[in-house]
Amino acid sequence: MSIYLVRMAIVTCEIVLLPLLLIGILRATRSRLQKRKGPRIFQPFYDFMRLTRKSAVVSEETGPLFRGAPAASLAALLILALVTPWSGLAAPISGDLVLFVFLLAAARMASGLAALDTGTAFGGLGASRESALSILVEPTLVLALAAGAIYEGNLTLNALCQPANGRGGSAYVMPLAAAAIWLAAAVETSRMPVEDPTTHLELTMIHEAQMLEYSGPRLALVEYQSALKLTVLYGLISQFILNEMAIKSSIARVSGTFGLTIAMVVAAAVMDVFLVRLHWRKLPDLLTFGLAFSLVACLLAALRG
Amino acid sequence: MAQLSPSLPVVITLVCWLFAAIYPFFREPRDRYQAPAGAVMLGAVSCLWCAVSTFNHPAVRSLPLPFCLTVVSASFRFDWLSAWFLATLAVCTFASALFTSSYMRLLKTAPDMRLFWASLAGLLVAMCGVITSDNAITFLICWELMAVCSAMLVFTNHRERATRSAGLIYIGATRISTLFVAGAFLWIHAITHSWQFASWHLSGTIATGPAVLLVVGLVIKAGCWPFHLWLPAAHPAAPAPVSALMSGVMVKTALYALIRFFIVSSALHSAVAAFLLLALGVVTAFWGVLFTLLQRDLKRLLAYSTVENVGIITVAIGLSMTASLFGDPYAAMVLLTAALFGVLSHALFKSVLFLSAGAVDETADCHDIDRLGGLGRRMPRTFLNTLVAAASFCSLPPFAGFATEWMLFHGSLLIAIHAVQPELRMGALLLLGWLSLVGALAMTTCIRFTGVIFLGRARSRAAEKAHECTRSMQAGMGTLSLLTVVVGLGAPQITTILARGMGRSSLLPAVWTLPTAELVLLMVTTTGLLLAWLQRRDHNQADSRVPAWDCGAGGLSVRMQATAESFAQPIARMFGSIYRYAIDVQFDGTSPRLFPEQITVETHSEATLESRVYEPLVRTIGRLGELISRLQTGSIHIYLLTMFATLLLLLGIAGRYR
Repeated sequence: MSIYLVRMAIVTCEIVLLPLLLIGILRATRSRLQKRKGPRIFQPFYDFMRLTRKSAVVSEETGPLFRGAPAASLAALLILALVTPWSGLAAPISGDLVLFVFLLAAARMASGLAALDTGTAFGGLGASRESALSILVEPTLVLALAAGAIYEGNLTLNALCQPANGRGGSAYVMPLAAAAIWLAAAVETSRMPVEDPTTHLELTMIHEAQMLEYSGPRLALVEYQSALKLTVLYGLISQFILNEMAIKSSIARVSGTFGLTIAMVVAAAVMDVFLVRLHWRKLPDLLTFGLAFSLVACLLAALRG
Repeated sequence: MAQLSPSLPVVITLVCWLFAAIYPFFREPRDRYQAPAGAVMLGAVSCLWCAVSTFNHPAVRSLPLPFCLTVVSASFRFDWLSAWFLATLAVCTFASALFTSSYMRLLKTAPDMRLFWASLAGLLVAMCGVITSDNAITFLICWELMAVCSAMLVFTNHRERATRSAGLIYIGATRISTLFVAGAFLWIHAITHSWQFASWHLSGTIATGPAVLLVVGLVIKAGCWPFHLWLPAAHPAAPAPVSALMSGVMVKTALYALIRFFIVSSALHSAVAAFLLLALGVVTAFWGVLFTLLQRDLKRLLAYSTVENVGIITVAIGLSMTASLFGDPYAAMVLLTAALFGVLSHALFKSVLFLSAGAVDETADCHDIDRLGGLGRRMPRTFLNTLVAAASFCSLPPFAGFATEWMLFHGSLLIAIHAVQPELRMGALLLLGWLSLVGALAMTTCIRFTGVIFLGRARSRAAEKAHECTRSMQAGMGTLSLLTVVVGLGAPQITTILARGMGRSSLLPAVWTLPTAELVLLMVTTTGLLLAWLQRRDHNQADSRVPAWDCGAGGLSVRMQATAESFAQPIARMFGSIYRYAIDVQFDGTSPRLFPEQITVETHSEATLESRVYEPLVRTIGRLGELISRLQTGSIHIYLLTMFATLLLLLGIAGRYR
């Protein structure tokens, strides 16, 4: 019981602190790479607090759904963070990949409907593009997680951070699944080359266009939510890599996850600086790679059996 | 085992529905709404009672002598499977009847309510008969009664031309379906010499022929690809509660028969049938959801999405059969439970969606979703119900749809992990990817449907004058959405009860492995806390209300919102070759490239199956019919000659095969 409480406490602390910290690291790295001084690492925390204190400017056209959606989608993601072993420790509540995928879908539906509620061209455009990409992202995630589940021979997500066989050298199942999730995460967290998080040119937006009308406390929730999504997905990718390396002890896993996550965040910053954004109609081609990776991972996992 | 006396709830149900059928014939037109609706509801309650008591005490009941059908007596089997479908029927009927009385008053065509109630009661009795019948003859009689009554209901607004042609397409589909089903029954009878379902046990190659015939006949009724054409024709034509019942329950009777013959009573053991069902289901789900995405007519859209859901349930049935063929009874049970949950959850949320489509159609007088918009503010309760149903449709937790999808995914994963054959493991994984693709597409259709109709700004005068529907209509939808939540939350208990009903409670641990209670508690607290925090913020600091961001260009017009057409466009482009999708953009003006004065955009898409396969087929049949009609010269001599020739031909054939 006490171990459970300690685990719960660590995960909760990470949920509260890590997402915004990672965003801070990402922004700081990016500005260093661009030879700018840039904001402090803790700037996102100050931004968050400032936004929660501000009063909101809301469109006249919006209704209760628009006002409630940030709470609903953040709740879905908080549950996601509590059922997924993204921190390297077993999740406090045992979930499985179906729950994982549909919680992400719930958050997506809430933000899509809220975007349509604004009655503007941008909201509809963002919701439409995000849904179009989701039809490739969702199978990728399901198949990659299924490959992991089959490899470990257990359907719960927690099996991912407690490698039962610990064989290591998984014949490419784990690296391929990790790569697939990483590509899917680029869409889910709107990073390059899918979407340019620094621009505010509306026509190039996908995810950003959906949250254009938010301000004040609701904007704070929405931004924290996308940071949390990034943290959970990168943490999940780390579990696949750590399983490949057959690392078992909890302390090694937690610190390994932390290191890998920061490495991925730095990589994202590098890509932000050096890559160009793809034309959005080319994106399905890129995502097909992710789907192909996860399919091959599944094939290998199934053959290995 | 066989009991002669029908039980009390059965009698009450039948009496109530008989009353609803007869009563309107003795009343003035304006008194033909309330009382029959009440009687149908009372009958539904008693039907639910019957289902519950059946679940605990299965029985076979035969009707007394006058009802003997020359070869066998009319007998009915009440067991857990019938009970499950009876319960589904009872809840859907209750809510639809609650909705019906004020909805039918709103209809501008003012249909004849005597015919309506009589056919509705007939349909309900016939569906109960199909679900419970214990021999082939009883089944076929009920099956036919069901077809006739539902066709009568489709014809309710028969003054409209579109309704008449839709009704004809539907009748045609039911005829072909019955042809195949009857053929299969005759074939099985020829082998087993029995009409009783209980004595049918065929396996091996001998089962293949009848099994394929039966599958084809049943999936026509269920609306699987490529026989789904009657659904998008019949559903928009019928009144909303009828569509709700047809899509929610009647289509499921075919799925019931599949489960009964191929899984539960093990009448037919056939690998071919399993793979056929699997293949049909996979194509159906994808095809249905793809065409849902392009529809602009409210009910046509829902009809296509019914096709998708039927496909998913068919996949579950086919996969369950495959699992038991390959010796994995646990996965087979999980998948069968998924199929049964699919039946119930689809009946619940699709009925809500059809009822709310009816409410929107009648209060806004418009069924083109591109001319609606912003109805959420004018009909808040209808919107809330639709939102719950849509979330269940997208299988979001904690609604009933999630339970279905969870068990389906779980079952395929079990096969993917435990199956001995690597090709089966791989197949299950591919199916998993395919199902999640369909799921993501279904969510897109849901966001499109809900968002374009209920959110944003009104796109037409019609949408501006929409208003909330009456209390009883809201109550009808509310009952079902409440049940959607209850079934979703109670999934662990319901699966346990079902496993007990199946007599499989000994088989391994519970089907449901998610910690539902914790998850629900967590969901309620996090959402509640966040909402409360936002509420307090709003209370302390009033928002400033401004026009939406328009890039400083000034004046966002209503037409700049995403429409149903534009929302679906990215996906329509991706699958352009299936839709034959094309966009024509034309610029007009003195210098069209630089300073266009007018831009016209037109999209084209085509339902390939209809235009490439069915239309030529129907045309050919029509032409053949014309050829035959040349014989009808009106001259008695020619007729006598034809009869003489036919007689000779028949005698020749009879002599040959004596």
